[in-house]
Amino acid sequence: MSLIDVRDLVVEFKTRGSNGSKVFRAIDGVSFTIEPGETVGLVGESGSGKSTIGRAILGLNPVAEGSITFKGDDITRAHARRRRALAENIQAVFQDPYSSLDPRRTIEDALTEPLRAVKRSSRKDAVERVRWLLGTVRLPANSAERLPSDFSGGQRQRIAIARSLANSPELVVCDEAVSALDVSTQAQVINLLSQLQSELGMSYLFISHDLSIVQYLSQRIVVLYRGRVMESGPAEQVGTQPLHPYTRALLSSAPVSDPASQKRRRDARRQALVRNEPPSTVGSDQCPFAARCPLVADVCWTARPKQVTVDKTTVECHVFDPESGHPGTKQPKAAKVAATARPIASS
Amino acid sequence: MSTAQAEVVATEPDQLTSTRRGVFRNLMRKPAAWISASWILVVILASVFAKWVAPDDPYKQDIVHNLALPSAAHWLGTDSLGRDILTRLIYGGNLALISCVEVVAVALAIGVPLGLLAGYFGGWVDAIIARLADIFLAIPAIIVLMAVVAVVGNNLTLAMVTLGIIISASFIRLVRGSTIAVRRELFIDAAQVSGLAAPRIILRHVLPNIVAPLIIISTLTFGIALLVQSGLAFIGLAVQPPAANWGAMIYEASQNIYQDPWLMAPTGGILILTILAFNTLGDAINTAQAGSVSISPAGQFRAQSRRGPGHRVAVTPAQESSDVLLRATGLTVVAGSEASPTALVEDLSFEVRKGEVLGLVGESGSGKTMTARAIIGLLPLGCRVQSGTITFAGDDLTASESVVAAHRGTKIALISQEPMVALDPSFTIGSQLREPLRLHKKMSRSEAKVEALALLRKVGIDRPDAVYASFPHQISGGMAQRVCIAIALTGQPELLIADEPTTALDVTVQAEILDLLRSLKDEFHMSLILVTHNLGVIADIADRTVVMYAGEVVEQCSTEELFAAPTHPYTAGLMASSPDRAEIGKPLGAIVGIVPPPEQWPIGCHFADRCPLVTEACRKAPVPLVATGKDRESRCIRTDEAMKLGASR
Amino acid sequence: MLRFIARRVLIAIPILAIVVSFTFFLVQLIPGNPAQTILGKGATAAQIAAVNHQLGLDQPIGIRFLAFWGNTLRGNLGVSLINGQPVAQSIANALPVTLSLAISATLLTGIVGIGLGVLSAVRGGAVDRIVQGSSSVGMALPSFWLAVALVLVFSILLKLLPATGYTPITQSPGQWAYGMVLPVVAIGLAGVASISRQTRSAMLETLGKDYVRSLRAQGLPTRSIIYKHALRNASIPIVTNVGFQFIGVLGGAVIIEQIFALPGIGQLTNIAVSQHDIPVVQGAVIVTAAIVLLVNLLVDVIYLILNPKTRRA
Repeated sequence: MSLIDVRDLVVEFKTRGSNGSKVFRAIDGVSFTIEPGETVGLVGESGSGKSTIGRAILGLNPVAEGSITFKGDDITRAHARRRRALAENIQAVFQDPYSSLDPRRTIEDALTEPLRAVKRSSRKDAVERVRWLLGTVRLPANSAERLPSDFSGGQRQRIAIARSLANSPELVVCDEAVSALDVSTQAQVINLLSQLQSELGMSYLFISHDLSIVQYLSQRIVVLYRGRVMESGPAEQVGTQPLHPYTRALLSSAPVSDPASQKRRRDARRQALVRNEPPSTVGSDQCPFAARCPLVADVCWTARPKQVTVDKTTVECHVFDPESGHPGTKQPKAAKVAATARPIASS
Repeated sequence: MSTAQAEVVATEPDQLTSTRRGVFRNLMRKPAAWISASWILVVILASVFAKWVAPDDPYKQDIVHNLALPSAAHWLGTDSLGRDILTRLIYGGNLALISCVEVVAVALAIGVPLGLLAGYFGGWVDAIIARLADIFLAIPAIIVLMAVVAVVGNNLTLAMVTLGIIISASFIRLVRGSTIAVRRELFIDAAQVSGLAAPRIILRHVLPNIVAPLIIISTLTFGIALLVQSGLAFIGLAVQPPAANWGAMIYEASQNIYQDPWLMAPTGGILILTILAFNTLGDAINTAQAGSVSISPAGQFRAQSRRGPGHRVAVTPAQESSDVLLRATGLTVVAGSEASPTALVEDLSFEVRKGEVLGLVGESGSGKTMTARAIIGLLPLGCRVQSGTITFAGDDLTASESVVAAHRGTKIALISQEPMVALDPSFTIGSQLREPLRLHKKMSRSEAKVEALALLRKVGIDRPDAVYASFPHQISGGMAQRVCIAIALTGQPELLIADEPTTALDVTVQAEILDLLRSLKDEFHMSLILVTHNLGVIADIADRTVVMYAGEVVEQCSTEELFAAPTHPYTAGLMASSPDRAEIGKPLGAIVGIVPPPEQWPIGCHFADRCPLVTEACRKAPVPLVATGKDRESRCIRTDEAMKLGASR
Repeated sequence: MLRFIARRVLIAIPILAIVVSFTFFLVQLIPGNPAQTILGKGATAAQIAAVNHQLGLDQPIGIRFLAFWGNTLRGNLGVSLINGQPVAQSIANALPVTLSLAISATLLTGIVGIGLGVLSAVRGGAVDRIVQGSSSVGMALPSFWLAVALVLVFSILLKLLPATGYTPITQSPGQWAYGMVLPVVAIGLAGVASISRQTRSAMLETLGKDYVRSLRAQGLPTRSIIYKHALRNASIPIVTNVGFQFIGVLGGAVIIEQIFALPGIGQLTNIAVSQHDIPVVQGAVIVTAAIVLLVNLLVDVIYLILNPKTRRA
């Protein structure tokens, strides 16, 4: 059984304008699973809804449609008490290490809070645990009495990681957990995250806009664009040989730190992306990438692509769907149309 | 999200509210604060212990010595019934202060819970509470008070409770606003994820973080309550003579103004001083708790154009070779006082050649942005060029504000990190393009419009008319950066400084902006200084690269050579840290430790504490930049080993 | 824009309705027999019955409430208990006085306050310290004390300006202005202080914004940056505060009109309160609340015009 099974998730937000309120669909039918001990990368640009999915799993955003199950247990609309109990299993590390720690509470307070909230640990046990946690994230034991303002960004992110580990969770949602850090600090935290996973065996949902970090850390990658899954599959495959035109555009847009390969990448990107201001809204019955896709055809504007499985990768693109009527349809032998929208690699 | 990386550079570590201890210390360092606090304390003590402190009986009349001027017997004189003014002021304080406490207590009791509920839960709870506050804000307090007094008679307590209810609307607004601000902080999300229930989150995390604004508004409300209470008493409401009351005493003074104008002084004086003390204390707490976030001091906007006296103008450099557009020599930028300045950039030298893209790369704290800003003469407040020169087409830009000002916008232009906040939100894009065009090119309004539209087209905007008429908030971040570039081009600059121009943007947009800069550079025959933390961006666009670490140049050479074989351990480490070069399954080659803050820079190599190749010699003395090849320099005494280190990665 | 105004009006109506209802129930709060309270201890039973009848207190509360509402909606605010004059008429006579005081004081507050604030922020140094210091004192000066002090100095000692009296502006603008100087200064000074402080900090905040740096990088003259760009952006929060000052002046008029013998709403209210003339007090509260709501609406509209983010494209 999957640790987390997200099915056909829809999240909507009301936006208030001076013309009354409108409903904005931030997540439009997203499905994926997270297996025990595995890292799933959720990658996308701003407005892709990647953080919204993480927050929905954490219960911080209401879900409009679809379901989220934790070990087979439906937690989509878990009420307050159930949600609080889930704190033991599902934890989070947020993006901004300056905002994610209460500036008025000591590190010890920050670390004992989850312990005392969930397990009602005794003060003595909690202090013991704090010492262990600080050691685990490689911070000196005397950090406990200090305030967040005494620490640098990277150190604070270690504290946030320690807090997420307090109750030995089975899943940690890392929402842009290293994006706010400088490159050298970022590498330290990435190394720490993978070491902790091999020591403690939890799963990560690693949310980031940076495909190279996601590829480095994850076993599987889910690529999001404007609230929809474009492509998902093994990290190796999606990160180096993506199928979906959007993933290809994303990959070739990310600059690499080598002038020669960057020049090749630049040339590839010019083929992969149409320069166009994307429309402000996308209908549920279109491909959201149509406006910028070099392979766009009429069908992309009128029908939502079906999920097609090619090898181990699932793509939502008419090009890979022999029945779509897209003129440029590629027909790889392995291509199969999934009968229903099903989560990837749930075997 | 897209702002992810933007916040890296935008969020300064010390921008969070300082701790309570710090606030109190800051507060007591200010004379205005402790003088005010002492005065309030004196008034409180005197009125509480009036019986023992007051020199006389507040009701003892002495008609013979009425309306007397100050004397040894009556320090502040007497009123029309010959009663001692000082005594009555002391007794009157009691009533005044009790009224204030009543008002503030009622306002807090209503405002805090309602404000917390509205701010924390939002939705319909918020809507109802906000309406309620609107109602109270819609009526002038004193009119309602009069209506209440008219109906129930002279009941001071009831009047003050009513005032408290009306004023609670401001408390609700404040608490609601502060709560919403705190609610957005990620630590509230973290507390929820940690399994804390809403009431505990409010008590533990929200309330402590809004205490400061509450103290401030309470202090100011004391002043308002005092004012209203004396005002009511002045028109004879809500007080019973012969009880002593400050407002009533002022009224009496006004009645005897022909015979004894002096009476106005002590009666008004005590009221004014006390209100002043409350207001000053409130302000002082406000500034103290704002701490390091405090806004720039007044007058600095003009003053910052002037140069600090510490600046020395270096000797004019030798004749420039013709292809050098800008040359910085020994540039040192400092912050802090004249006596003990802290260097942010040390002894920086580099050149920008005509038509080239110079990459300036480094992590936060490296001084790369300071360097860019020093060139265009727009250093942040409190920072200044202490020594060194920046020559541009024969002029030393550091010589005086007027020299650099003459180049700004015409010869040298700047685009910065967050395009959305780099545009004035109150004016249309068109207006913001026209203004520099009319200034620099002396164009008419209609000529400027034609040119502005042409520029918008040039920066790759498909519908220039629509963008021309838009306000900044109506366009996307990528579009805004294009607009900023168009504005930068209005003066046809020879040098464009781009400070992290793509950091706040999505990668697909970043790629397009880099393409745009590349093509514009050729079209306009510009040179480009591109400041970034991203080695990928450097690899994409820079011809030559200057690597900065902790205020120093650690390495500079052509970009190709840099990536082929870094000659400084920091550059090598930076490359090893990049996930795009990483081998999956192997740990990243992270650099240990953190960038030292400027005040902790060592005498020797700034990178020594983090360097895998460090030796004794590295720490002893400053390490000079040494030539390691043609047009290539490295600030390392072990460049050979460093090159091996770079190659092994 | 029209939609926005319509929505704000729709929000204002229930607020006004609540105020009207509040003034009705205010009378019900009178402890004991209201007529007795109004007339004092020496009242005869007949007098009490007459007042009860006049206030409608001899009818059931529901009927009275509806009748009060019906009258108010028709602009009938009842008649004074003391002189039998229609309340609406008395208020209509007094309104121009109070409005001319309030509008003049608000203009003074806005113009002088913003001017001083900008000066303070831009000049800095001694100018800033003087403006800041006097603003602190200005905000602490009670208007009634200041009024008396001004009379003492300018009327009694210097004999420059009249201490009391009001000439309608329609009759003689010169005389009107002559008589309004002291009341307007007395009631507006605290507002000037408050606005100047707010303007100063808003200007300083704005001048520290990124786009100001961009404007400087474009080589725009300091004058344009300060007076065109920074002031425009800083003025958005200031508008709200100027609106608050107007409301404050309206309340302060109660005392100031008394001191300068100005026959406005404030004086009317004041006399009515001392005579327990409940219908007049009720009328004054309703009319003042209506004016305040109108001013708030105006502030919202100006805010909308100044702030493009709230404006529809």
